[in-house]
Amino acid sequence: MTITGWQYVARDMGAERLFRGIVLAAIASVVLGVGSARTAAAQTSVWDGVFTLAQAARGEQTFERACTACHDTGEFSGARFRLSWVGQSAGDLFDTISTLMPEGDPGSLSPGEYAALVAFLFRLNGYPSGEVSLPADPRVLGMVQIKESNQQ
Amino acid sequence: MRLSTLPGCRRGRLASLCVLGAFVCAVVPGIAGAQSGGTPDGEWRYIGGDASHTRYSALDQVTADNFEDLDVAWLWRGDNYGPGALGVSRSTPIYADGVLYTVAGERRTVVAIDPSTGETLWTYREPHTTRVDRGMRNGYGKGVAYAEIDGRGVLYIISPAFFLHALDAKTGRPLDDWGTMVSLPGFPQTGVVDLLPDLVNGWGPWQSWDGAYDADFGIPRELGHITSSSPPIVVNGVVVVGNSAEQGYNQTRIENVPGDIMGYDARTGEHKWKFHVIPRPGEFGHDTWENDAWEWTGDVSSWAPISADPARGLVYIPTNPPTIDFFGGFRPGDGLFGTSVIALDVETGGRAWHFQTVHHDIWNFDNPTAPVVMNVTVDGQPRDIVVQTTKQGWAYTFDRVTGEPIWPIEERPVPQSEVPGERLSPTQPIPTRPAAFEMQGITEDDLIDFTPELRAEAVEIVQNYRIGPIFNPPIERGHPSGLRSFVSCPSGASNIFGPTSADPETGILYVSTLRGCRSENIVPGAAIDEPDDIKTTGRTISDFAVLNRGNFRGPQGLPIFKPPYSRIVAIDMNTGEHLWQTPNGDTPDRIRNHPALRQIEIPNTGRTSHPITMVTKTLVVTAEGTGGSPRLHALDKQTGERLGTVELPASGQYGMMGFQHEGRQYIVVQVAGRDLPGSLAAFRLPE
Repeated sequence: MTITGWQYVARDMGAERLFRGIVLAAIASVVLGVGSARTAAAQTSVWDGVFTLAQAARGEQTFERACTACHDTGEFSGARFRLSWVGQSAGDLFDTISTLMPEGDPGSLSPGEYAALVAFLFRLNGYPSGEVSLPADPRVLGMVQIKESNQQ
Repeated sequence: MRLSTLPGCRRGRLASLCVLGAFVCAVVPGIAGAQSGGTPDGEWRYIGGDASHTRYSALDQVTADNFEDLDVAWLWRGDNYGPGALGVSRSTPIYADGVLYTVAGERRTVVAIDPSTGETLWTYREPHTTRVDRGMRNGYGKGVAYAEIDGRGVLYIISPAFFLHALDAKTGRPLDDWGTMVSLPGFPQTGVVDLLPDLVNGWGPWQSWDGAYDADFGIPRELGHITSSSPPIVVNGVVVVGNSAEQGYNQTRIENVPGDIMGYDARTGEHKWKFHVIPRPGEFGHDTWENDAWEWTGDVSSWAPISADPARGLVYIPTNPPTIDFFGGFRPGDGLFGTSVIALDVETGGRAWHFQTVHHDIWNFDNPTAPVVMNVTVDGQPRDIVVQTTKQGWAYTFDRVTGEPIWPIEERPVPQSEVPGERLSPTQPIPTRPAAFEMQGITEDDLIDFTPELRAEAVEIVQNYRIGPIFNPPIERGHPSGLRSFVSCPSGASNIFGPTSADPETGILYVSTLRGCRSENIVPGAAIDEPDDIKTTGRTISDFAVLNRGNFRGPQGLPIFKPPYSRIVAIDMNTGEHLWQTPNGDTPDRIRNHPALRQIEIPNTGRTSHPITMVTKTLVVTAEGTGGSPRLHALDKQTGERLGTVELPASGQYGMMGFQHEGRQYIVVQVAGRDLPGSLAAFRLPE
């Protein structure tokens, strides 16, 4: 039996519960002898349905409002996105955007808006949506790995 | 005076332009002291106010004493002018014969607005084409052009799909017996020109193409794609059409269509002339293209607005670099007329003079705002000048008839590139006056020093980058040094977000400048090329292309350099001296309340945002820009002192304008923000 962190908590709507879910999944993995806590957490990836379509739609609206003065989506999709972000986590992406952007007033969006922007970029790049929103919790975001494919 | 001793004629290649400039001087006699600047009769007929792009209005009802009495007369909302609301307000309205006109949304729908009430009077929408789907700057319309033809007001608009429309200003109906037939569903039978066939006519790659022209799709992706991002300008009965290519930092392939400038008869829509921005064999500047790159290199577009001296029949065109930013190994040579100011004869399209502000530009240092036309007195002599403010932080100043620099511009050595295949120009032209209005490169002395700890963090950060002077060349990702990237500062000191304005009565230039650096990561183009993307153009993948804009940031979320983060700089163009400078807005809360800065007195940092400005008889009026607070300020024109402030519905963006309607002075500010898409806020004094 294998429990992947994200599927396990897919019905959980709260960031804290989400975090606990990942930890529980990790513990379960250890108990069941399928790997260490570290590898269990690492197995949570953008391929596991880590955002909702509604959240991505909110992120698109935020992108239109706060980003399009200087950026278009082509900068953040396809090979450019993969080469920039594969190997890093949703937390790295969240941290970069929320620290640097918008250029005029970085950090001025709400944490939920930054998380929705990350969700929008994930949708833009073809990662599957799920039933739970991506939380604005750095602990959780740091456990969501951006992977080249769902086979890794 | 020998021509070779003229400032700016020191390099051999400049001698020819100076000869030509002298010729123009000789053959245009009797035009002394041509008027420049100011909007007559309380009108604002060009997006930059006048053909000079001074953004100056001679109205004086609004003064320092009553500025804070200004009320919002109306708010015109930009919702519903496209498939989605545009969150940016790039278009500055014009005011002509009692009506406001602008474009709105991603389709650049043309809109007529009642100046008293903000009511939409009529709209005009171009039918959809695949060319719009291919567009990369659809929402970048900056307004409309206007002219009186046989006593009738006519609007001229370039669409995202690169069609030119001529509309009756009163009705919004396309002009009869104007232009050429466009055989596409829904297009009007008259009043429109498809600009693409004229643009590619005679261009080698198109001549060699076997397929038929597809007016819906445009030219094949293998050859390129083109749009526009500014309205045309109408001068002496000629509609001068610029254009715009895909942003160079998004491109991966080396071929594209050149952004040639075209002239059309304003009365008939007939094509008059075309100026080759990439010179062909036998044309001046052709020898600045090595490797036969002139045959297939594209861009060199004039995406920023064009200004003019109508009395002399000259238009001033700012240009973009050639195809691809941050790598130009495939196009060795200076690459005229990339990143230049070009003066053209509006009747013939012939070149009067030019000046290349960056040789072999790979830094995205396109000339980003309209050149500003002014009349000043230098060393006791009246001088008719044109000023180009730049992303590099300089105000290049020329005699606008001859192209002669008003103050010497020196070719100075610059760092060279290590990127395989790249060959940069050994020198770049550096003005000796006015002084730079923004930082020139970055050293440890420029780093944040609010506290020793922050400074130490900043020093540690920059050790991971190759920092250096302006024109610091890129290094490729994975550079043997282990450095993350290069850092080049400034990145966009003067830029389209905050157009330069000027007072034609005093000769003072008001420059909006932002402090910033860039640190693009460049990688082999093949690693990021998207062959199936409808926006991908060209055939040959570049050895290097931009992966992303880098991740260069300061300690603890603070800017890495010292403040002010943006300013307005007033320059007396009679002397070239900086008159005053003031931070744009006030220190933002995120800095004032930053945990690392508790108990520390810091100066006003200003906002990280290009201020937008206009000038009136009595004031400099300024909004803080996209990254600023939603406020409109009045500044003293001679000192920069803040004299009054009123609240805006949202932050100001890109531009503002003023006019007098039914005896009352109005100031219209482009605004956008949360729950407010690109919109217009009109202010006037109470009755």
